[in-house]
Amino acid sequence: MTPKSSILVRVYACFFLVVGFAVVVIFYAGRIQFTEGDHWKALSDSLTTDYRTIPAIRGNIYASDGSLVATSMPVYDIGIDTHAEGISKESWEKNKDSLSIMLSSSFSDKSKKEYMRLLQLARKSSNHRFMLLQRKISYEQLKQVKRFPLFRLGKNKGGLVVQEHDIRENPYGNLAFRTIGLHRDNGYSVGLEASFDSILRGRPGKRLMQRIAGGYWMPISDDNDVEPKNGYDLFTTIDMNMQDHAEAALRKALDSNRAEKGCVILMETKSGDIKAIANLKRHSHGVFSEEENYAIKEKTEPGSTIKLASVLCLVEDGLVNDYETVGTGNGTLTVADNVTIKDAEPGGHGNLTLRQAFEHSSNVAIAKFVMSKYNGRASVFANHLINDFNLGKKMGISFIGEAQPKVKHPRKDRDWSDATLPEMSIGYEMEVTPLQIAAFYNGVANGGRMMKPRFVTHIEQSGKLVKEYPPEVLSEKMVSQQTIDRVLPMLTGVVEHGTATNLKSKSYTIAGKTGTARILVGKRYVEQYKSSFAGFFPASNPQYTCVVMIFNPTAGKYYGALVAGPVFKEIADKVYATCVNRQSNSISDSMKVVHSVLNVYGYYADLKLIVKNIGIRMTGVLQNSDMVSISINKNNAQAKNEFQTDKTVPGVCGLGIRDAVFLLENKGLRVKYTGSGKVSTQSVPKGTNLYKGMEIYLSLS
Amino acid sequence: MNFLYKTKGDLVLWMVVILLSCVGILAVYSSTGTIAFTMYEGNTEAKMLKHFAIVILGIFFIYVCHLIDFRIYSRLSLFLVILAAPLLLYTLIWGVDINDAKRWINLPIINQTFQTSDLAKLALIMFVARQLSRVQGDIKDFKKAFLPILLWVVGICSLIAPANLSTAAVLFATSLILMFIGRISIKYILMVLLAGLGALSILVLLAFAFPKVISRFDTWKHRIEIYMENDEGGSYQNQQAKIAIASGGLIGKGPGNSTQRNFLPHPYSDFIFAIIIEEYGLIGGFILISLYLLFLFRCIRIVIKSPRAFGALLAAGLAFSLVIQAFINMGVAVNVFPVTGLPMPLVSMGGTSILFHSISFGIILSVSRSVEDKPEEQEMQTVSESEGGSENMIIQPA
Repeated sequence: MTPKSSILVRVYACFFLVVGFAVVVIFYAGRIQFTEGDHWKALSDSLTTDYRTIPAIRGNIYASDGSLVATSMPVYDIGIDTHAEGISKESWEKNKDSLSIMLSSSFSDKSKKEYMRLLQLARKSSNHRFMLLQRKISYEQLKQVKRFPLFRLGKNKGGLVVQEHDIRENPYGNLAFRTIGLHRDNGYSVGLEASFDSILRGRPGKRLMQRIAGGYWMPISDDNDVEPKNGYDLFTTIDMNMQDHAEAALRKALDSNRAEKGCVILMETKSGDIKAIANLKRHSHGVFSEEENYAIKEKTEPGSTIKLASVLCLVEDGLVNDYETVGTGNGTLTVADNVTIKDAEPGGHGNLTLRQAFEHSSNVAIAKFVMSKYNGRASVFANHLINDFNLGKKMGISFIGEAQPKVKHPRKDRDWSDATLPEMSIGYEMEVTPLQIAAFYNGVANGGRMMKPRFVTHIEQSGKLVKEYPPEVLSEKMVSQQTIDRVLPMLTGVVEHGTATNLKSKSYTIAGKTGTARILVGKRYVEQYKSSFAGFFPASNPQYTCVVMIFNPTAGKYYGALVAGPVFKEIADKVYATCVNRQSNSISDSMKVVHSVLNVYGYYADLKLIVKNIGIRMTGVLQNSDMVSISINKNNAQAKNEFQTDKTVPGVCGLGIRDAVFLLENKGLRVKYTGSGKVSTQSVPKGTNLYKGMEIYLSLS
Repeated sequence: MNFLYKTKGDLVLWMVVILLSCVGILAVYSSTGTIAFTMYEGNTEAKMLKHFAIVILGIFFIYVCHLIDFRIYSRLSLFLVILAAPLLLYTLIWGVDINDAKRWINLPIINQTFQTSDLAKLALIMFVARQLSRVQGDIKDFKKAFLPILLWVVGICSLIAPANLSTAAVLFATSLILMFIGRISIKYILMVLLAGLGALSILVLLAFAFPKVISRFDTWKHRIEIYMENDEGGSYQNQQAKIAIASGGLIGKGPGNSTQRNFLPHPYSDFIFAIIIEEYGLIGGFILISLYLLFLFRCIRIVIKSPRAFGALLAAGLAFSLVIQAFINMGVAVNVFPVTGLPMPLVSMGGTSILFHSISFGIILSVSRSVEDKPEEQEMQTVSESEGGSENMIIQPA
């Protein structure tokens, strides 16, 4: 072969080698397009540009004293991408042990070995390269995690994947849970969270972004960008102390009476502010839950508490004087075919004045008074109830879910019968909610000015007032002052010498009315009762109105005075002792209950005053503004400041959950608890040295 | 008109140059979106204009180089290769460090970085062509023909290797191909291949033993690890490249419509082929490949026609070097090879690369011009005459 042709042969050989390679390149490209095409295209679909939502921060909900009751906190889900490009073999081998140790020791949910096994598995697997490590960790924890071996090498070389989202946190746990409510993004929302959702929610922003190399999102300039607008903060009327009292008292009563469910409403007389609203359902084994807002949603026949309305009508219309009596006969009264009204006690009460009839809650006497005085003029009576007392229509409260009440009117309702008027006069053949009863009684307490129940005082945005919700009046003058002056002694008489003498208090007077109503199941009354007590205190200068309603007590007692009354009394005592304005030297015997509690926490100035009033000497001189504990021992109270400086766990046994959580969380502990009532045991003993992020479990009973 | 009149050489080759440059300008304009966003505050034209200017400069270089008698390159190669060795050494020690690789030196006066391995590559191929043509008489002689060339090749390649292993490997392979075409005994070439593999393994072993000595070692290892191990379709870059290729389809998304340019690292150089397929489809990719093959084919035509061994070998060497690099770049994009970092000649962004490939082109066209200048009959005669012996093939430059 000549050199020339030799060269040519060799050149062509090389040329075809290159052509062959070109074919390989085309083949590979074709394979990517046709054989694997769907896979890669699917992958690309998840990576294109997108309007990314920038979430708005949901507003907080505050109690009346400014304490936070619902707030949004960012939490983080963390995981590891074991195939992250930057994780080299060495770095993986070097760090996997120490990483497992750190993960195990900080989350203590899996052993070091288990973490190691899972990490190795993910690293080897081709499909499950991503491993979720922990959900919902706090920002503090995240900061720690970022310092872990491997993760501290940075985003790409460490493989840590973090996803942020907000969760709603209720610092008071279950307290007023149903009233504060729940917000679910795609579900059934309840309570204030739902009622004021549009205010709390804010408006999420949107921005057109594109993912670029390295997994970053790059904003693309676009005129349609929307900045997020954070939600407003909601300031409620709820007082968490009173809420605590109300729930505790209700729970106790439901338990001891083995009742089905119950609710309590506590209202400030002047403003109509709802200071506490408790709704509990009792399950077997002493478990309670707050499932429905009975106080607002449950419309039922109120029973005897509505006799106040009958009395007000009779007095306002000047139909009955102080001395007129009616006979109760044998305690039964047939008002229509098949309809007989009975008194609770058989045998009758003899002749009764209106006042006596009210105080002893005689169904027969009240019905007789109303029947005889409004004979042929039933619409006058109905108009009072519907228009003046606002019992027949929704009050238009800001809280969602208010039930539509029903009060019959002779001209408007076809089912009005001869029995309707007497039945209505004693609280049957009508349906109202506990909240309406509360607003009604509160109107009487407030001198005839009936206030609309208020849940929210104002809304703010970052400390600046946005909108105020001033107290609203439902009826400026539901009845005249003279009427109230005549009826008030009847209400106090119920407690002084009527059906509820068990509620008598030495230090202040309670004005109220008991109620015991049979429960209507379908169209028949069954042997089930709802016991209620509605009233206000102190009667001399009413400041709070309270309604207690307990459904189906099964432990034997069912009279309003015996079942609902004690709940009212317990709440009234506590609220009176702590919240009612009065002369400071009149601390009553009821306050000496405090003695039995060994640990009391509070501000030094407050405790000093209380201890002095009870007549015990206080030792230990401290700053007035200090949060202190006092231990009471017979006639000596020892005050100690163990909260600000001390780096140990305080003892919280005997405290309510609210105080316990406040104390412990101020010290940086994370609190988890079970049960209800007072703290009975704490998992970390008093005096143990603290460290940041320490957890403590409390059980309450 | 004078300018056009002077423009000579294979018109098909000229056409290929212009087409490749156009493809390059379009692809670079489209794929610099990300870099423009981060570095030039969204001024997407800045990078393209710079590229455009370099392409124009490159065409000017081609024009100038093709006017020079190719025989001058023979002597120039000796000078260049002697210059290249110390320059490479200088770069290794004092070079500008970009991405952990010292491949660039800063040129004083014009203040531009410049990749010395590109110069060395050109110089070595010219030099090997020169040496081969000089020893055609004793071409089967180990000591006279083979060994001196091999020593130069090994010497230059090993100076390039620490900073730019892939360039060194491609240059070494191209040199071997050139030696093969230049009638060096296949036996020797196989020997060198074996030895080369041996050397590569020694280098790898050394690097494993002293990872700190060669700073690029981690990158190499990582790239190879990813290529060898990953069964999920390669690294992030490979995945993104595949998405680009897959989403392009047969006819592509159209010019400027690439989305993958935002996800692919270096879409304007290492992965430009993926972007081209995304925008112009498999058909676009096929046309690009065809352009390179056409280029290679026309160069082989020069080899056939060239009366002189040096011209033939020079054209063959430069053409193969350019085309092999192009196909390796494409091979990386479609994941036939691990990521190398070699740009696509005349298409990818990158000043030094374009200018030196332009010079290569210019030299090839210079050889082409000398072939075209000769009357057809004379050429045929030369070929037929040369069949008698090898003397006519041998040009001994003075």
